[in-house]
Amino acid sequence: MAKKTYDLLFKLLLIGDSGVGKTCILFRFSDDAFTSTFISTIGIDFKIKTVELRGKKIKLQIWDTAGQERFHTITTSYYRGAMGILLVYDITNEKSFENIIKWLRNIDEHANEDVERMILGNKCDMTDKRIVSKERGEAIAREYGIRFMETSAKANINIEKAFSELAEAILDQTASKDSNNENQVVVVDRKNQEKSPAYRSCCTS
Amino acid sequence: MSDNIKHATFLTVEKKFRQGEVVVAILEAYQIVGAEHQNRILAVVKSGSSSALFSFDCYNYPPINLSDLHITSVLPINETFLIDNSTAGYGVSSHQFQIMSGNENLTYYYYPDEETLRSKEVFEKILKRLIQEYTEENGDFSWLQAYKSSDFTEIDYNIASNKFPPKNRESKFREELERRKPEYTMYEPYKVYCATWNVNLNQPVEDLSLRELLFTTNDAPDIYCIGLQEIDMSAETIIKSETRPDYNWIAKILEGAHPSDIYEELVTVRLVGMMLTILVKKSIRSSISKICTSMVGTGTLKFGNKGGVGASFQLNETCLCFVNSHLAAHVQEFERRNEDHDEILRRMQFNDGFKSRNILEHDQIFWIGDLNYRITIADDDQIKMFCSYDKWFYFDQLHIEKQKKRVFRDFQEGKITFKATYKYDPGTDEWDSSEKSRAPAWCDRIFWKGSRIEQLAYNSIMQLRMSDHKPVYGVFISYILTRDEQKFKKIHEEVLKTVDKFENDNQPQLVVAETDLDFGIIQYHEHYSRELLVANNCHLPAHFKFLPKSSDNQRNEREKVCEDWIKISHPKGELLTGNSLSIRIDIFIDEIAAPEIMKKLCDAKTGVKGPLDILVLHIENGRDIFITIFGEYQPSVFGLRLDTLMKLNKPVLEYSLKELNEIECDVNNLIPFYNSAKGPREIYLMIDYLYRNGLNIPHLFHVLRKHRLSPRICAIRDWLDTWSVEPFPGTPQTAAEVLLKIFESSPEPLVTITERELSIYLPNFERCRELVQNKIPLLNRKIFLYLIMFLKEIQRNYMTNGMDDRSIAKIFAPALCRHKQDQLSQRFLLLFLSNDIKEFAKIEFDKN
Repeated sequence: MAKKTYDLLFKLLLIGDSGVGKTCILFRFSDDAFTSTFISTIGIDFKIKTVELRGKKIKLQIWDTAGQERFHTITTSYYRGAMGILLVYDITNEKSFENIIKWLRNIDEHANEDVERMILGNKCDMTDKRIVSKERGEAIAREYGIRFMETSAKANINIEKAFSELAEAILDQTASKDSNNENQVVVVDRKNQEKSPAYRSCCTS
Repeated sequence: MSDNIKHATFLTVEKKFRQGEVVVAILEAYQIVGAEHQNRILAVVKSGSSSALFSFDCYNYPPINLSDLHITSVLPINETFLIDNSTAGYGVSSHQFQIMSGNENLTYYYYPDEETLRSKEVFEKILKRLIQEYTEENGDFSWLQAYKSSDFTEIDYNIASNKFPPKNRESKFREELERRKPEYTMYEPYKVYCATWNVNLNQPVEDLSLRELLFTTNDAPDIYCIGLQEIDMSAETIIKSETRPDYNWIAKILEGAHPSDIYEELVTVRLVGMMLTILVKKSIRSSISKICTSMVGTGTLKFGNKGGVGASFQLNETCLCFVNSHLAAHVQEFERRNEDHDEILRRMQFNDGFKSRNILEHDQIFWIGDLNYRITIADDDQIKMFCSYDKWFYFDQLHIEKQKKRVFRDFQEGKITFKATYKYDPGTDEWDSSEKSRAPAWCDRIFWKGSRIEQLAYNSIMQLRMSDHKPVYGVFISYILTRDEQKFKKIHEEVLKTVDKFENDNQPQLVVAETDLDFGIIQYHEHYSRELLVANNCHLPAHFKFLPKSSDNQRNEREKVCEDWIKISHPKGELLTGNSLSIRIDIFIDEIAAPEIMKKLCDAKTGVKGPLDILVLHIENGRDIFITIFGEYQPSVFGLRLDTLMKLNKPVLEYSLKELNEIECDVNNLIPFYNSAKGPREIYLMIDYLYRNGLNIPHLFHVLRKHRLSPRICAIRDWLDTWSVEPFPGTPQTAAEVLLKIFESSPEPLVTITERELSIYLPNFERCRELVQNKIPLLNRKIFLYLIMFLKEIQRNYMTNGMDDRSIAKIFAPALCRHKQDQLSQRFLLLFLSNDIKEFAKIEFDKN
């Protein structure tokens, strides 16, 4: 029988001001590489990475968005499909941190209600240029009840962790949804339950 | 290849290389890939004292651009390098030659024309000289890294040229997993124990024990394969083609298995007298999958008194097949036995629900049974006296037929050291003493086919005496391909990484020359166009389309790819590898677009120089690219509100966008009108000009709007927008057109009466006049009446200009009223054109 290469597909989205390192974070995560030349993303890019969480193979499809202001209206139309959103600011750039509020409002307006969110304070390796303290990042995350982490794509700090924590949160959500559904399905139709790919690991032969 | 083409090709090839790398010679050849001939250019290149042979795929022939050539192979010319014509055969293959270096061995063909033959000779000579010149000291091939590091091996041109669809993730995954199989699999020995016994209709009586047959080894076998024949040959069984397993026998078999392990029956298959039972150690049961059985009855009636039964399953990664057969009886019937054998081979199919396979489509096959082949020799007694197979094998029909490859082709059999297994007086070890006194024969045999099988034992059991046959057993070590789960898990993870990378690398990509398209200053009624150069430099065909921008706030709004005044020459398309396309983006601001763009600019916070629009160029299965359209719109009198025109106290070009916006938004008319005329100066100027110059022009206003796109309109635009004192730059016809355009481009219609209202009050002129009084704002009312009076003048000159009231109404109704249907508005205009409005106008004109 044909084997499927993953059990679940999660769509994640990287948003935040231009130049905070969204593309670098994605590049570090998908290719384990870093380049310091800045090439502005003019559009929407995506990469694939499969991770294993609690015995499930989860294919992450991560969308990297253009951060430039003039694209904001267009990029918001990509929010709706996302199951998780990573909101990135630059710890050496006060403005990018202040804009977090604006980005959060964007998420509220355009993303799914149950989207999992996470704030990342990137470039945490650049201690001598730091302007936004970790405490401020934590405070705003606490205020909005969102996960928070400081990362560095350059020094590879917390990159894997950020993605897997976000994926895990989504997994928790789907699992609890599934268990709700499962109860209903048993009553309604047992066959559907068997067919539903969410419960069954397809990777064992 | 003609000299010209060759020279051009040479120059293109040279461009592929860096400074200091010299192309010494080239040769045109081809390779056969699948069913296709693919052009190749072979080039010998020298760098310093070392040289190499490059093979290029020639995408376009002759190659002109660098992208026409792709490296397919790079072979360093060192001691292992060899060009070899010795494999050449006949026909096409006589043009074949081989090039080898290191582990690579590539086959090429040359075109057999005289030119090529000559160049081939020179080419070979140069190669041979270079091979001779090679020494280890000068063998610095590091310069080749630059060419090897590129991913040229990854490119599949069949996919790039859209002949085949690209591989998907799943098939890449399976392919990778299969390719790396040796890394996570190994062969593990399993003991297979086969036994066959023709029980001659005997029941498995209580005191019968099969231990003697099945327990002959110290180690417990992993798999038992027990084939019985003639368990029941009653007429009823035969006619019913009985297939229900005989559980008494199965119980006996289970009892008889090796005592030091626990066995379970994997599967049993029965047809009449034949039954095949497979037992496996409980501990290996979980490694077995795809268990299926099959049966074939042979002979004239195919009832199954003769034939075969088989079982197939997969143990770890190896497919195993076991067949138990009972072939046709009687000495002289060896040919029927051959036929039975072939029929079983042909008809026995194992179907696991996904795939059907025949006997030979297994990795390892064990075929046992009462095959019934006899010894053909005149004197039976000799066999009986000295019953050694060594002595009689030459007369064994099975041996003879196998030698002739008529039966058990490619099967193997162990050396027979046991006495003939047939025919004994039941209960004894004595030869058949009945009247028929059958000659002894080695009827009961065990064959196998497949690699990695070793036979450990092959023997009969004399002491099982209830049948006229003695049972035969064979013990084997069979090496089964087995997955190392830990290694597999590790490699599975690695393969997933490869597959992720594959998927990331296999997104179709397009490159656009510029993502910002600046149109500069944009004016009303001018054509602007920019080229968006899109190229496919990736190794996959790419489909693209411009996506509608769905703003989820306004789901009901029609989703548009771009503003209506922007036209894209290729809203979607396909680009193959190496191709590029120039997409033309046109902008034209017409009467409808002018108020729209004014509104958009006034709404935008970005100011005049902000983007006019952003296009989303979507690549199927890939990224989206945002193309920003920049341009500075220069407001004109076209597109402004009529009361704005009244409020302008200087040329429109001298206003900033912000100022214009403030005037446009002044709906309560807080800003005073600049002049107290009956209408805006633009309308006045046009009507005044037409009064003086146009009344007698035939078809001054044309139903088909012939002067709609006249370039003079731009000149009139500038004349109006700058309050020019120069003479009017237009003609009566264009002035007429501009008059219509002013009405058409204002954000709101001049006549603000709805279709519904007209339908109620038409054709009563008095009531319609009231409508005009009540529903149309004063300024518009004045302009309307002023215009009607002018149009009456036109109508009056019908004899010279040919314009009657109907055609005037037809032309002006849509421009003034903008209703969905023009019938009512035309009737409305006709009413005013045919009634006296002087008094009415006079009263209205005096109002302030």
